Amino acid sequence: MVSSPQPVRARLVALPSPTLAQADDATLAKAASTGDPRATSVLWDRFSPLVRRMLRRTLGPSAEVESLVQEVFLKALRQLASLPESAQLKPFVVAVTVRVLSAELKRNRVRRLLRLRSPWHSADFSSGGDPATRTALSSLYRILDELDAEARLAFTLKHFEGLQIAELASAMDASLSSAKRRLARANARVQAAVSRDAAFSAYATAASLGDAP
Amino acid sequence: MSHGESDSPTLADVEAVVRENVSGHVDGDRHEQGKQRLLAALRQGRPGVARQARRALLAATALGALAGGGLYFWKQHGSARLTYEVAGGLLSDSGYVRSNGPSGAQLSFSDGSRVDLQDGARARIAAVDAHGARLAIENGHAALNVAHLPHAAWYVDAGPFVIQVTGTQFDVDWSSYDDTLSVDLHEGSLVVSGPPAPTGVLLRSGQRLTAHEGRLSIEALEQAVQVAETPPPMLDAPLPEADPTLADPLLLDPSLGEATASPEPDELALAAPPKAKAKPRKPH
Repeated sequence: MVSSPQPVRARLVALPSPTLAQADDATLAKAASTGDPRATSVLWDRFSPLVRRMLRRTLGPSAEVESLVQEVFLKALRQLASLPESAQLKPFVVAVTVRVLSAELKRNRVRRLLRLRSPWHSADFSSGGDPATRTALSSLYRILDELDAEARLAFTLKHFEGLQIAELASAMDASLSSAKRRLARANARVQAAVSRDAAFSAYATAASLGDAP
Repeated sequence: MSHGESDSPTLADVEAVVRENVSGHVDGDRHEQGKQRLLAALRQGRPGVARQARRALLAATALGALAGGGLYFWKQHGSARLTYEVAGGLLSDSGYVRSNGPSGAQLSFSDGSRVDLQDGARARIAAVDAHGARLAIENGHAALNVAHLPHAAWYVDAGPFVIQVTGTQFDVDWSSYDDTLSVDLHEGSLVVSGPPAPTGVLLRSGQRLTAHEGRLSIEALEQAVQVAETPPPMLDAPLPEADPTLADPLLLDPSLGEATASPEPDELALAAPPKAKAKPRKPH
């Protein structure tokens, strides 16, 4: 008995070009803006971990961010053509991510106000990590939920991504003084809230004693 | 973690818990899936754009609905509430008005409407909105001049009676002692409803409505004035039957002593007599 041949489904995979993978930002941006899939592939490899990390650290580790990562890249690829040659890609990608985050935070706030989305709670962190860490993160993001979008972004970009004030202001398309004000406001509120939060205090105490995982 | 000298966690603790536990890395398969999804989206003409267009359409629809709702709300409630001033009387916080002089109290509303309360009359401004007010006359005589404006809606409560007004000039006399209502309409029209006419009776310019002990009568104001100038009529006396044009037999049933209810405000088919303002009344 002769078995019939199985249909083979070919799949085209865009492999990063060795040349483009090592290309500088201007070359990569130029190639990506022309629709070169190899350039897109390199961009994804280079920046998607950064974008995903910013999204998850700002929105919360359990947030479903893959669609937002796609949105960031689609926006970035559309705008690449107008990027000055001297511009660096990383600040550009960060700025696009910040704009997507800002819109998402505002949407989330409206959803919470309309009660279409519940605030963070520990069940959101059911996957990954030990229970103490999940509880601490849950407490922290509940506190961050109380901040407005601009203050929250300033806080997460500074403390979680380590951006300097000037970089933060540039990414948020704000003046230096506005960025400082937002950050100061967020710092004060978060500091006060975590000090009052028993779960987070307990976690931090355990961590300082080396008990936390 | 840099949990400091005090027991309170610091912002460094906050940084640490996130930096140590939240990364942007995914496994190789998921990373590759994301890339393929992006490349597919780019090949298919960026469905993200279509999604954005859909979102824009949805947003526009939502905005339209919001604007429509806002316009409706504004039309219903948005206009400024009428304001009023009281002269010659005392106004309590609850809207109770009582004259404090022989000339009575005068209420002037911002739409130009005016209510004159005779000396001794008591009334309450029960409600005021953008289109009118609800005035409850507790006792005594009031002369009203309601500005004839689009959407004007004024109500006067007198005991169990409600007078619905849309721009007219009339006098109301309500005696809480013997439950007698008298309305002299000088201009415009209004609807009076109460126990004798639950669905309301339409009163036209130049008519006087009198209600007493469950009986309701309407007569030409001029005639009523003439009668009043001779011997004062007793309102609790039987209704005059001399002029059949004054009372609709369908409305006024002497055997029952009540006006017959009808689905629409009852209308008495009277030729409007000339306007008359004189109003001799029975003393309170």
